Amino acid sequence: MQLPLQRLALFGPLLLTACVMLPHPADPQIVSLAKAVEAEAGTFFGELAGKRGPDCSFEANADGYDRLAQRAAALKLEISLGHGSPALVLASDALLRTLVDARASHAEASARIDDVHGACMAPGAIALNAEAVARASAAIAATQTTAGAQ
Amino acid sequence: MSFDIAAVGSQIGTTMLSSLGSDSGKVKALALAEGDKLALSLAKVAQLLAERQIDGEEAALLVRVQKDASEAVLASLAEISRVAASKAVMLGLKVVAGVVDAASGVPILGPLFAAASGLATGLATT
Repeated sequence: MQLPLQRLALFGPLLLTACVMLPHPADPQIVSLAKAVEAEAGTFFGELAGKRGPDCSFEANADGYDRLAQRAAALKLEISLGHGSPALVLASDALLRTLVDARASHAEASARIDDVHGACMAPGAIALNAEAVARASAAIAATQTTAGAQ
Repeated sequence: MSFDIAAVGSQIGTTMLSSLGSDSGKVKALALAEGDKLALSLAKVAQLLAERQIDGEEAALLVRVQKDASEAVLASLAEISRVAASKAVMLGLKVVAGVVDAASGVPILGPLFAAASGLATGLATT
């Protein structure tokens, strides 16, 4: 006869694997948080594209990147608390990296003031970063919509 | 000098798909669409470089942003693990690095692989 601990040792890994493989139910909160990142990014990058120096510099917009990162972190937390699949945890990590690198590209652009845009980022570069953040966050929201959330 | 965006997009997409090894229609559609989006983004980065609106270091960072976003898109599919998504995007970009870097006149994809290689070497020595 097996002791409870022996049973746990035997079936624990199987249960864990089953939990990971089971389809996760759709979570409207994930949709809402992912769409909030997308909306915030749209507003932030849209406004950034219309700014002139010194308002366009990285320093002047660092708090906007902080807000975006906070929203993305809230999304990752919701997913990590078990409301999303392991794949979605990894997708939210990649979204956070997208924001970190977008921030770094703006800092780099502002550090170089010997080009035509001075401390501002080139409008084409802003558009590229905006599109990247939008498609990463939209992809996460789409997984939940596919799973049945509105 | 520019590159054939459609051809580069197709190369990236098919390489990513092959790396993912999935026969799911959803994965196929997404990988090919991401290939096209990456090619368009690379063309835009090359154009900004040619117009001297950005320099090589900014270009390399903008390419990283695009790579990250593609990883997020591919990883969001339950069928694809992080390693597979990350590997697929890197392989897709690697296969077009020669064409894109030559057309740009500045290595915009090269630094991506140098950074990845440095990271791998660092991990191996720790």
